[in-house]
Amino acid sequence: MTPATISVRDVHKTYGGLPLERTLRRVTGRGAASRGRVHALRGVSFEIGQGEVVGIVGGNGAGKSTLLRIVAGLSEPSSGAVAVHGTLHAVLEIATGLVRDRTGRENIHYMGGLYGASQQELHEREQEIVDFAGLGTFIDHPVRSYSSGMKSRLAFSIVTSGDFDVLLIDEALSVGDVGFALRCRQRIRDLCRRGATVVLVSHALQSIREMCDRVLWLQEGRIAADGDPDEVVELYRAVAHEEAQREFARRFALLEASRSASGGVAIEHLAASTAPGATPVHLFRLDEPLVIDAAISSERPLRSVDARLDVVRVDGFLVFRDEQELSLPEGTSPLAVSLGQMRLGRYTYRVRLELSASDGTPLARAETAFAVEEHKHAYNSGYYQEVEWSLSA
Amino acid sequence: MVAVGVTPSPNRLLRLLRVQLRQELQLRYVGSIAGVYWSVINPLVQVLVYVVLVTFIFKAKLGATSGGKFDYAIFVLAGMSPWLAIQDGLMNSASSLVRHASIVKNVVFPLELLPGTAVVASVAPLFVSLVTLGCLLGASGRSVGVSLVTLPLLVAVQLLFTLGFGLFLAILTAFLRDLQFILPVIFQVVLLITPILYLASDVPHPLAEIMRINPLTYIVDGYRRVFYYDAWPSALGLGYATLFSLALLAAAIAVFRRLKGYAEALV
Repeated sequence: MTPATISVRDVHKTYGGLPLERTLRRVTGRGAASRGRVHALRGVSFEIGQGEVVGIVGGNGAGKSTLLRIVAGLSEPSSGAVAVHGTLHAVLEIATGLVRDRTGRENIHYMGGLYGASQQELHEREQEIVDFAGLGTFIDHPVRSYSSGMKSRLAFSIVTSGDFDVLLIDEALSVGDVGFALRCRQRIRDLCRRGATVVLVSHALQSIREMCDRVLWLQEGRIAADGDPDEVVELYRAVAHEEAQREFARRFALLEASRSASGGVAIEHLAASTAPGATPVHLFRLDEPLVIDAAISSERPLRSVDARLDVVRVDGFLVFRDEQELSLPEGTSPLAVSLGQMRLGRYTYRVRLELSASDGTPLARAETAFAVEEHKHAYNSGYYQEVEWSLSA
Repeated sequence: MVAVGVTPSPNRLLRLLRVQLRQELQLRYVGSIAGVYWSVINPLVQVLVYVVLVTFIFKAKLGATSGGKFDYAIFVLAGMSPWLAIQDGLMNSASSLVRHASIVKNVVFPLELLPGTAVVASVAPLFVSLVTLGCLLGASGRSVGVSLVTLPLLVAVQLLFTLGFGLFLAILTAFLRDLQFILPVIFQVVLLITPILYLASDVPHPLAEIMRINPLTYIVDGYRRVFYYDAWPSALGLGYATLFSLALLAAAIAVFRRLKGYAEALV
């Protein structure tokens, strides 16, 4: 293995733990609300070799940014040791250190200078930075007139040009438009071909997977997994999905408990699922099959019961409605409405099943809900053509 | 123990200082009408008030003045010049980390340079005061002797002193923002215990002792000897001020190093 460019050994970070800080807080009463200590990192160790591209994933507050700041030397670890060999550049927050009142071009010279480039080097590099940022005539306007995307494009262009051995990037890939994101990736690939070590934090799991040689998954300040990008990202995604699933189940429990029944007909069970009779699903992925699974009980056989199934988006928009005439046998019979593949956008949806007699008298009503995970191709509303109702006796 | 990157070479530090200094001066002085004069006009008006008050209303005469028209004004301004610059440097270094929060938070950068730049930039108001002083000297027909060659030394000691306190104030202000508002009050007190508006020899017993250990006394005295008395600054006094400043600077650097890793979370 190549000698480690970045080595992090048993790093802990506690905010609000410095004795002087605590004393001052007590004296001034400032920050009384944040009196408790926050453990951002609880013993993180890893080594990164030269030329590696390493991604860091994890939920919000898992300690990703804190870790990056500590590696960058911007923040002191509470305990543990960090060593970085070589010069380091970091793109941490949007618009890192740009001066609002100066033009983009002036900022190239200022920020480039802060990163240690000489004016001569910057003169040579200026055109390349301008071209890469691709801001057009805006480059000669003050930065205060930039959109946040433009600011981060400029900052990224400045920081990633020039000579360095280690580059740290925090969420910089998610800003800027699609074209710029592609150029960013190209640049990172060029950098590691040159031998630079790159560490990037991102929630864009797909790009992490495509670009990195290795992925670290941070969870509650500890490394939960470290290894092959596909495996770690899949693992992370599975756990995150499961957690979200539980969270949604908890949120929808109340809705599911409110049912009404009369006339000897009741909806015993109503859930969204991926197959008839399968376990209820509260959080769907795109392209998973959507099946509304129910169980209807009747005290006596009933002919021509009108069943209506509505799927309503969280804002009240009716995305799906279908009606079917059912003949209910005596006892409990499972009902499954298969809607085909998930075609809904990233929202929460309410599912309502209503049964009424042929004269319109309401018989039973039940509701459930499900959510759809974020995905690239967001449909505004669903359209389901192959709907299939099946009531088994 | 944290070792990040290579320790910046002196060459690189100088380059960074230049970049930051240009930025600081441009932002502060370009774009406002009177530019650099703003940080001097206010205090100069103050000087004028003292001068008018003392010479025309109290009709007092300093023991040392020979009775020339601008004597007291020159006397005060000679002592005021370094003090105004020190005040400017301290104010700006105190707020430097907070003002440059985006650098503190995002750029891998030797943070000592932020107060450092503010201190170096305080040469600008010093220059303005000295030019004003020069005009006054010319108008009153006085001249400055060869002791002017010690001016760079005086400026160096003064900057050393400012840097020591500036580093302290910069890091403390990150923890205690109120310091920015307390500082002007402290400055008023310091103005009182330093012989800027009056003669050191006129000071009664308890205050005289404080004045003797106050290193500012010797810096102010140095300027005054050069511009007012046409004499050489006291080597002993300046030596004391230098040693004091060096010790202060060493302590400030130690404290700054120890605490700067926590500033990022506070600014």
